Amino acid sequence: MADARDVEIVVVGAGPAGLGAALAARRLGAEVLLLDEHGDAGGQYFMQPRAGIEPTLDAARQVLAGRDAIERVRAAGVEIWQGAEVWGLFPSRRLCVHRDGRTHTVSARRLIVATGAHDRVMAFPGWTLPGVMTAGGAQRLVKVDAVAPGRRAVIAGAGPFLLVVAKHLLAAGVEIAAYVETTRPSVSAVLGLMRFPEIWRELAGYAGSLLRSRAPVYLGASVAAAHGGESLERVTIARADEGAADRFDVAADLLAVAYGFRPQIELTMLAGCGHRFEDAAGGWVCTVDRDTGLTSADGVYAVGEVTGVAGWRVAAAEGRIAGLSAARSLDHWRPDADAELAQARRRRERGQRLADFVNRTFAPPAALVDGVTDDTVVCRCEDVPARAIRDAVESGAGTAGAVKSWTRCGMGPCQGRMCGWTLAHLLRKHAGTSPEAAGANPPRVPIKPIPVQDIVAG
Amino acid sequence: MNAAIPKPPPPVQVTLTVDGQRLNAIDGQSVGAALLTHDIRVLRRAPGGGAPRGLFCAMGVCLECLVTIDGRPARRACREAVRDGMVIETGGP
Repeated sequence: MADARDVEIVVVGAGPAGLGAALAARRLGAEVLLLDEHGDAGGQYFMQPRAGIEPTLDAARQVLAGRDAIERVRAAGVEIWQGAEVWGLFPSRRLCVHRDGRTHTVSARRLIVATGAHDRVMAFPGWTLPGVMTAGGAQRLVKVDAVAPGRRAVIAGAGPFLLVVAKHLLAAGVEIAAYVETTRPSVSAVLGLMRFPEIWRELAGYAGSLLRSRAPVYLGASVAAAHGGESLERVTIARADEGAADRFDVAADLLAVAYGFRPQIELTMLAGCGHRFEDAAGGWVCTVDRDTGLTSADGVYAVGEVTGVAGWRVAAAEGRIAGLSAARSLDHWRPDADAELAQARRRRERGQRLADFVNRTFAPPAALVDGVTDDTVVCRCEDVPARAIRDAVESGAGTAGAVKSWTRCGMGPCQGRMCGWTLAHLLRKHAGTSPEAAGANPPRVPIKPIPVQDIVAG
Repeated sequence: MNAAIPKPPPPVQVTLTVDGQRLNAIDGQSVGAALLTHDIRVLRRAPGGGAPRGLFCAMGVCLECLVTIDGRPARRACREAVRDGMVIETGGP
């Protein structure tokens, strides 16, 4: 570990939250190292196309805003490591970072976790077929690689993010065979959204392009199954409130599906921070002091989706709050920073009101888990069907941990990231166990798939 | 708005060998995206029943897209960028 390094503030994740935190702390004079696992900074919202790839017309505004934010952070003197995966976190905030085929050790006096979220999917029959993808994954292929992930797509799940994905797929030349929203937003919900002009205009624009494409739109419906031989050929859609009789098939080679997002809490879990379960905010989220972003672990802050899914505006504001607070705790401060902190807190509050409203309006119905048939593979890594989980629960396995040791569900390399939400709902359905009582799947080091020889080399 | 984005240099073509077959790709694309443009969607087989698996999260989290790259097994196709001369094998566990 010859290159072990002490840094005042380490920020993990260079999306809107991490960029905001790094910039705010650096401007107060703190030494900041920003670690990001992707090839380019920006996270999901400010996602940058790979070098040499022209952004699709529609994504250009976000790409430019992101490029601007990244440039400001770099110009302020933040050291940025791209392609840097944090695979371990040890006492006293010692991070193991994999980059360029070797492990670097970094000791952080303050750690700001801004690792974001990934798509949340409930298992359904056929969801392992190639061609079935997360909505965010389909969008990433369009935005980062300028590749159309299919020719004819079904977009399904819950939440306004699907509208964004629809527009990006249309821009890439993909035909939308069906747009399937599980919730059925009421008129009062739509009117309620109009209280937030900043998002209303954006969403109206996305919805307009979907309607202009003449794609069939189904509200209150969900994906019942995906079919195909070697890859996706057909999708069965079920109208949730009209009984099992109302099912129909749509031909498609791409199914982009997501029911909101799950926070990536591996680092805050490893740090021993307190967490709680809030289904509407993504499931297990890290608990923080809203005024500073400080978690219950010494010197560890959490910002953005890690503290509950609330979108990029809240993430950026939380990043600034934590960046300022962490710098202040290291005696970096300027009198004018009080005003910046107050402004960031106001933006966070307003953004949070909007996020709470959106999360409530598009909360997936509990009945979604009824679509998980006995034969449905729940754990994709270990090929564990729902039947095995039900048997385990009926034999007394009452927690996520017990189900894991009984069935191997959640024991594979994704560490339960893909199946955890389904498992929480299956435990509630079969045993009446609350997600709090069922517990989260604890992360195992290395939390990223690092080749063994790269772990020992230091 | 789009005028503000500098035109990137023309894409550089590279050649990959995928399961013994030579295919073109754009330098810097992810392996998964490059294979998708050639309609290669099955990247591995589930160890249990051999069911086909492919890109799912496309952001490095789900580990469904593992392929062998230049002899190194279990590399994430969604995370590795293509390079000229890269040798890729699909269909592993």
